Amino acid sequence: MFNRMKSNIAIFSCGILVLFILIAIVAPFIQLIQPLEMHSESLFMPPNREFLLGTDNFGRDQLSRLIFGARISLGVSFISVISTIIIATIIGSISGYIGGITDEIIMKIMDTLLAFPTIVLALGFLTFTGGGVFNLIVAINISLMPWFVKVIRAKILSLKNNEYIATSVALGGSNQWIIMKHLIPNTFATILVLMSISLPIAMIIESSLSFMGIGIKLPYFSWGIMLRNSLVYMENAPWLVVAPGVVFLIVTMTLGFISNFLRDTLDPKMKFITKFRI
Amino acid sequence: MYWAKKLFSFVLTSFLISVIAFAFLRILPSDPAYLIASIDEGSHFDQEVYEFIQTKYHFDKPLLQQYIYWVKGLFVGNWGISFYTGQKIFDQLFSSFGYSLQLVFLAWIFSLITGLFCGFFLVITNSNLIKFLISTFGFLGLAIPNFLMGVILVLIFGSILGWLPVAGYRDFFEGPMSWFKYMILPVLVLGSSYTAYIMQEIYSGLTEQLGKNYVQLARIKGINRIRVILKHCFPNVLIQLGALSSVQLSVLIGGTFIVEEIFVLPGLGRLMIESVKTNDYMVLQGGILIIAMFVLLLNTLVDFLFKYFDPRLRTD
Repeated sequence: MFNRMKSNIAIFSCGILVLFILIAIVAPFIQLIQPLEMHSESLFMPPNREFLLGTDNFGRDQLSRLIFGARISLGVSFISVISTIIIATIIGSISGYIGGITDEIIMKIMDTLLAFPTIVLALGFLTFTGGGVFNLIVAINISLMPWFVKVIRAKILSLKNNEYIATSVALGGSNQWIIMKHLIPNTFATILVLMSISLPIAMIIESSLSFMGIGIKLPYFSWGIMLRNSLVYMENAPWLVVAPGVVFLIVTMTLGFISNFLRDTLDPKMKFITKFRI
Repeated sequence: MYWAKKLFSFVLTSFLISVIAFAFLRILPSDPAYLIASIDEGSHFDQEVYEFIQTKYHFDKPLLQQYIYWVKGLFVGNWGISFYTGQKIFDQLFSSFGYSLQLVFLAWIFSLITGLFCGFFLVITNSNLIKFLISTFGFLGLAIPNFLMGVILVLIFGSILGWLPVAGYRDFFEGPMSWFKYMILPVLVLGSSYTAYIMQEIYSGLTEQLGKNYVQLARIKGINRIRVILKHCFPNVLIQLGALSSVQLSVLIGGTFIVEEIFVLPGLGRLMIESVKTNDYMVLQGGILIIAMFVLLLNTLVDFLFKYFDPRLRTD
């Protein structure tokens, strides 16, 4: 009964998430009030018929800003998680399968990166490279990398001693062949769980950085930036805080439900990764 | 031999940390001395200042020499001077680090107490309603990011109810009561996610231990359930908690950035964010170094303590 409910919630969450992504994708093709358009005659309008979620301090429409902000908030986190997974799978499987001195060096570097709190590493990298969407993605990559490499390496280590690997070695399979053909396909379940768990984390990193005023610069903006800008006007215009906050919460919670479900069904033993967050 | 290996690993990691912190200033797209020289006057650029900075911070030397000078400076307390405030970076960093530590420590205590309590309660209770409430709270604590939690709490307690101040800081010695009022929301925000971690860890650890044979034996002997949990299961769970503390510690310290930014506390995180905005790169570099070294030191210490008291853990 309980599992049934869990899977229903996960499917429902998936539906909401897909809806959000679809809206974000089709946003430029539908007739909307433009997100950067300023209506100087209607500043700080509470939600009304013309502006469904009200307007902000420049008279910009809150709803269309939310929709266009989703493009950055969701897009950056998806791209950064997928690119991190690709790189981390390569590094992790090399480190786990080959072992020896290569493994030691890679793990030492990853341990060093772990000494920096996630947000500090991303903040430092972004400041010294000068911000922008691309640098933001790289910054998230760097801060997620050590966790991903550790998890994938642990998975590879547990697969490495199976008999089919020994058979493949005996038949003359090269390292590259074994990693590509036998090891990586077996880590797909782990990778999927890892991805679903780290998506909200990437989103939180992105919006925290935006919230601190670092990272994305105009004309781009995300939900984190919207929250930050509206914090000053909280007393007089609470709808400016509530709308992005609620949307953000919906997305992180749906992702949370999905990742919980995936972890419970695919890889129940994977506990370590759930412990990290910024 | 085991401890020697650990010591070597510590030295190597701190060396790598210093290399990363050093490298940050050198991956700037342009010459750091040039950027620093043109901070104050906006676009105006002073050749004299530029040359002075280049020789003072050895930016004109080869990279390896620069690194050696920099590390030497770190050890004798010569961390340079902030180009924005004109104060010594060393003093500035360590005085604000004190405030951050105070916040981290309070949040840690708070979450330890609430997390342990909720975790125990979740194991002991038979009421499904309470179980549901506590686990929902745990899920929310993990799902809501710190900055959103901060915004929500400020909105509720600061703006709507008006019970607590929205932002700011009062010194403890000026008046403990007002200090408490100003600290309560930051501590709550920072501690909430950590509470959920501890609760989860305690719950899963205790339920795992309760299925083991020694618990059954103790129960058959007639010891009551709560006593078994406290006396027999809890010490085993404690080791698991300790093993995860490294992760959680850096989570807490990373969290201070957001919390200090929302509540305008005079801590290290806020100092670093300010220095990002004023392009005061050397302050930022120093802050990054301090935080990483602090996390490394504490992790090593915790690791040492646990392995010292429990020799079973001494195998890799």
